[in-house]
Amino acid sequence: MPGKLKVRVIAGRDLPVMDRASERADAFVELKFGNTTYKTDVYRKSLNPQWNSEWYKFEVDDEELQDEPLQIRIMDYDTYSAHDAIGKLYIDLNPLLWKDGVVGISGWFPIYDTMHGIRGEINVAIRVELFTDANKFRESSCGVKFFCSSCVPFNYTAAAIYGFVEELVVNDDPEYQWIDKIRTPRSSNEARQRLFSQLSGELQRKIGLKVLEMGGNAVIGYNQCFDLEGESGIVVRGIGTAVCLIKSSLMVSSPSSASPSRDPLREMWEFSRRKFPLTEDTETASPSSPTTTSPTKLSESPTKAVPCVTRRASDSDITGTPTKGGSLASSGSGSGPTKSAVPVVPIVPQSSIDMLEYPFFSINHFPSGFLVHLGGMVTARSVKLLDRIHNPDEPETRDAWWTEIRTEIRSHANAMGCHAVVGYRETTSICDEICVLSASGTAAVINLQTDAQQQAVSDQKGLLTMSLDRKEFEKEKGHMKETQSSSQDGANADDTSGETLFKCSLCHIPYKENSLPFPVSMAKCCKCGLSSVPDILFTTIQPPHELEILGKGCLLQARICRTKRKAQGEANAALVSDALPFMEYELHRQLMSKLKVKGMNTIFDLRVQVNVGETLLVGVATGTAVYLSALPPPTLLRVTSKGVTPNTGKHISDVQKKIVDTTTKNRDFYGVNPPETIGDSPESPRVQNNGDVEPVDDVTEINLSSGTKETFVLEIDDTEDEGIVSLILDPEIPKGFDLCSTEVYPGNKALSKQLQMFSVVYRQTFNLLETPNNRKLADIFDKLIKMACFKLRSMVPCCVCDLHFDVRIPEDDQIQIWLTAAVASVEKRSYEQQLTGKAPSDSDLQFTMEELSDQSSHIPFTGKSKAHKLPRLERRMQYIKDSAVYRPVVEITPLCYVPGATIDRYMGNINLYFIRESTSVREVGGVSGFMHSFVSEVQAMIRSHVLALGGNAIVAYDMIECVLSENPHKNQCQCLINVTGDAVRVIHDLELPSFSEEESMETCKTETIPENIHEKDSKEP
Amino acid sequence: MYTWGISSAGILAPANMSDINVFVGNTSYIDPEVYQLWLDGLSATDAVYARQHTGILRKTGATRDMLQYDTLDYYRTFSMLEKILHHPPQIANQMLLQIPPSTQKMLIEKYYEFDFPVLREILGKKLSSKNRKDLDDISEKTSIKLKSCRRQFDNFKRVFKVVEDMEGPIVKNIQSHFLISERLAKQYAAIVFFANNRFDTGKKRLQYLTVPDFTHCADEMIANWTVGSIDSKVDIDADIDRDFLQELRDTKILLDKDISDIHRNVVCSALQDKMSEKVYVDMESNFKIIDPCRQTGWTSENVRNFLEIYKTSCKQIEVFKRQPRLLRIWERYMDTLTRCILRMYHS
Repeated sequence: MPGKLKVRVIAGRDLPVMDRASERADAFVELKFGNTTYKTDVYRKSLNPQWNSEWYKFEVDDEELQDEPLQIRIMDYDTYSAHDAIGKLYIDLNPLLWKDGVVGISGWFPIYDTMHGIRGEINVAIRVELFTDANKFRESSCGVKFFCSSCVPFNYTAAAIYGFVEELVVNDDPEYQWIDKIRTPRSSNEARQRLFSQLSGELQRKIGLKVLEMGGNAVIGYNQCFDLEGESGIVVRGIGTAVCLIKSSLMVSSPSSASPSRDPLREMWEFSRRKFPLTEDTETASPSSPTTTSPTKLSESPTKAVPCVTRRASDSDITGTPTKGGSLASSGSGSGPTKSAVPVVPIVPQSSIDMLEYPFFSINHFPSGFLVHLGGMVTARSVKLLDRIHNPDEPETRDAWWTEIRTEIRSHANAMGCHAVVGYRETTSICDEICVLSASGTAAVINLQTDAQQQAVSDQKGLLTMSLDRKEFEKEKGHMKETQSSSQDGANADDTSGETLFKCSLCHIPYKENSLPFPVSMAKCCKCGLSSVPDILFTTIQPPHELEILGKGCLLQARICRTKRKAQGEANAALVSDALPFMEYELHRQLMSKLKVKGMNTIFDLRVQVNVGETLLVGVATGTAVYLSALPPPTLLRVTSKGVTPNTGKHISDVQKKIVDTTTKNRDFYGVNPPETIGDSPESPRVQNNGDVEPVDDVTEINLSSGTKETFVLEIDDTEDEGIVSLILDPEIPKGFDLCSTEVYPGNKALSKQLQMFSVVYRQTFNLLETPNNRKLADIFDKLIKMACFKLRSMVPCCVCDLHFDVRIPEDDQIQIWLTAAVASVEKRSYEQQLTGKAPSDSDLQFTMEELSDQSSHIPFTGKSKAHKLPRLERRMQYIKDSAVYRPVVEITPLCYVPGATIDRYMGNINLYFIRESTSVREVGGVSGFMHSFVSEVQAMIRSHVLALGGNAIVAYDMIECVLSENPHKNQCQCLINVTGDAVRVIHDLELPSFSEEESMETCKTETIPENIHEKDSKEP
Repeated sequence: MYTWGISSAGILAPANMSDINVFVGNTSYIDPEVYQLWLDGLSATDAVYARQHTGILRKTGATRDMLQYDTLDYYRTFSMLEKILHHPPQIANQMLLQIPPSTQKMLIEKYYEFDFPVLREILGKKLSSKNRKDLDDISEKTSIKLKSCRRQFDNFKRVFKVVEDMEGPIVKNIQSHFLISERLAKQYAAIVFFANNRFDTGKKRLQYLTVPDFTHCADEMIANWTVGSIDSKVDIDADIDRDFLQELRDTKILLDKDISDIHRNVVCSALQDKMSEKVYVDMESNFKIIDPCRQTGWTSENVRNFLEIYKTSCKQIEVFKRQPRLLRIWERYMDTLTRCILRMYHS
């Protein structure tokens, strides 16, 4: 019996009127966990009941704690008939199982009913006491932390990265069970919500077991989704990156003067490397009650309290540590990822990349030195028939499907000379019995032995595997010398403070030029001139800080739709399979063309979504285009026509002129005019630029002429092709807006304060008479973007970042788009300055200088240092003004950090499912009205969960699923939403103590920070 | 109960019912202009027209379509807000919409604002559902949209219901329960006061009076004639001090023919020194107040003097001399009455 769950029901407020006569309610609360149920007293005739119950205790297995949510049901007492339900609340207990996590969940939660929405609020307090269990064969994996953030969490160090973990669980969908025919919609919805919660708990527990087996203690970049297969059931899939995290004792925000970084994420990595190893608290295994193990003191110390002195001190820590090559000197102070529940977890040294079955990493932000070379984007898709699953209740079939896909991805990566896939993602699209499985990622050569790990290993006594890995790695490097030189570079960078900030080696091709199964144009690296780089790079990851971006980037999107014949079963699957490559090709062509018109050469965070409908296929690729200075300047898009008649000749040249004009305009607008290409004709590429440089690597000599041969050409032969031209010319973005899909500003600026986070639910029904085409599809997206900008017009200048589109085809004549983004103000300064901005005494100059020194002279950013220094005071004043400005009680952001704030602590992973149904859609303002309230309600629930965990923000927020079904004739509508994210506590920039106090008084009246739970209890009457 | 809101389908329905375009932010920022249009009772479609007239499309480059979706977003937000606005303290607690505190204040204040013409019509009427049904007459008369009239009516009723039996100072009560400004709370206090004490403000003779006149008078009466005014002891503010009314009855002796004559003489003789002959003559002939005064073209200074003397002259009457208590009551009555009359004394 390894755990005790304790729950107390304190009060309710603003309950709905349940008794018309008295205009009051007689409410009581039912608590259910596992098979145990408790009830509070009935609080009569009140809409604001004060139960002040005792602590109800549940004795439970930790397995149960992981799988089951706590169910709280609020009822209205009825003497004669059945009690009426007011609403329910499900609470995921997993955050309470984190060992150094929150002690309790306590606060006001909206009472939610699937038929009525939010109906008042309830105040509850929950705690869990865990007992140590040394059972080796246990089924639970309590304490393994899950992070949706696709980076190493702030304040943590990755002592080891173990790589890919995945699991899938299959179950019946209650919506399709026979019983659903006789039960009420409410109980059906509740059964479904409960099941989702249970399945997700079970899935995480199973993944957790795998992580423990590997020696890890956390999953980062955790990505979970539901496949609603219909008759064949519900599949819950989870993928992530297993790591061993160690808490850094100092705050991230202490600026690392030694190595300037370009974004907070890098700062974090830098920091963690530097701070490691330090005392850490996770060792203290207190078997009796976790309530006494308070979270580490240090983690609570506010950011700005960290003086520079500490930084220096920690810097000196580093000097004592061995340099690269990893001598195995032991320092004896064995710190590590020990979990109290696990009997023995030695620090397992980093396993070799070659030992990983699937060398996939679901994260998008990487520590310095992790990425060595980027190969390019890899994708695999497969069409499956759901009604052909032999054993629908068992996961085997689906497991096999995904294995197939992953194997394919792996072989794609290998073909590109890469041994790893980063920024890895898996998705599905289901339409009746057709299921399209997709996986994508970026093939890369990586170095798992980040310095932190090397240190971790070196701190460990008598560990050996390391050397083996090392050897493996050296061998690999022997293959490609530039690998070595670059990683050497990386090593140097860490030891000396005056290192090169940018590493062009990331773009150097990891493959031999002619070894690829498809032709790629090559050129010499524009930065070093030594190695080959591709002319265009597509990746699924966030822009690595090592790569220098010229000017600023922008959102880039390709949208394709194709019609398809109606068919059944295998014939249908065949049709879809046949159509997919064409779709893929068209998407690629559109992306390429658009990229060239933008005057850019690289796409980051590229996500390709393919949706299948009965007669419609829609593919949308969204990413952020940038100009990487290492890659050659993009050639102009050329237009040709084969069927040349006198007329078309003229026409073609008109089109060509339009493209050239737009490209020139874009180059100016985005500041991506490479000095050497100004005035260049499209035919004369940048060969002369690096022609005379002697390559030092042993990659086959590059045939320079071959580079130009494959210049991208758009052929226009008929009117349909002409449509393509109009498609690649995006409408102008409204003034004052920057748009991107990435989490960081794609350029040399920083996001300084989040202003808003928004979701847009959009659905359009096509006129039955018109067939949807690419133009119409593009119009929808353009309209959505324009609309969002109109909505946000008061916030300019601002950057709409992490802009993601989720596309569905709910009905064949309908397209549904779900859009989420963060809106942040942008400041001219770069990230490191943003961070120093908090510490009043820090020398701004130092950074500016360093940054400047890194920028090679030919980059047109030179005058910048002065510009940085000058407005500093102004900036500060602006800040003080800003901090007086409103800040939401709970910040929601799809980013993995909060711009303008520092993450102080992670409170837990949030994964919530809601179903909402209405039988009076017209009365609530139609489907739009229904969705508007539902999305608001979901956001409200998220905020309350974050607050109850003691947090004030949720990062890596994602709306994973939004399934809307409708029956207009019956005036009915049902929607399912699944949201996830990491609850955190952040400290806002320049948050003066007086401010924060005021704020907490003003806004958090109802919030109870778990740490204070005891005090609160005693205060209660 | 108050389901007149905008939730009925006709108002919110976009062109195609099955199309969706919903924008939800983590923070709900409210455009005060759109809010005002909504409060004024404009349908979403009318609001789009109204906004279009401000030249917003030209300024922002938006399409009419976009403006419509934007307006609908706001209207939906308002309809979610409305339930909360009926109990303003909930707005800070509720979690459905995250609204900056300054906006919260604005939303409440504006929601409880009312149009004087509407209030003037409603004032003195019973806040019954029958009268609520007759609001279309008022709407027609005041050319204020019916929806807005209903909101105002319901606000009056809601405030009235909450504070009518409540102890303590009425303005404070309204402020704490509805979080509105003191200015607005005073106006509501007047409404509650009149409604509670059944003042017949609808009399033809009072037709010329404006809402500020009434609120001023109510304010005076609340300040002086209620229990709370003399006693800090907690009591109901909306009622006129019962004891006072009882005692006031004693001053009715003034109406006795004899005493009245004495009083009149005293007043008249006192006035002779101060007023012109003409005024004096008028005064003597009819002893009523506002209407006659106005007819004879008194200045408010004249009225003030008259009332002052009217008050003080009682001291010279035997009955009052014998009963200082009576005199106190008389002064309490007259002081407030004077201020009310002076306020009401305009054309």
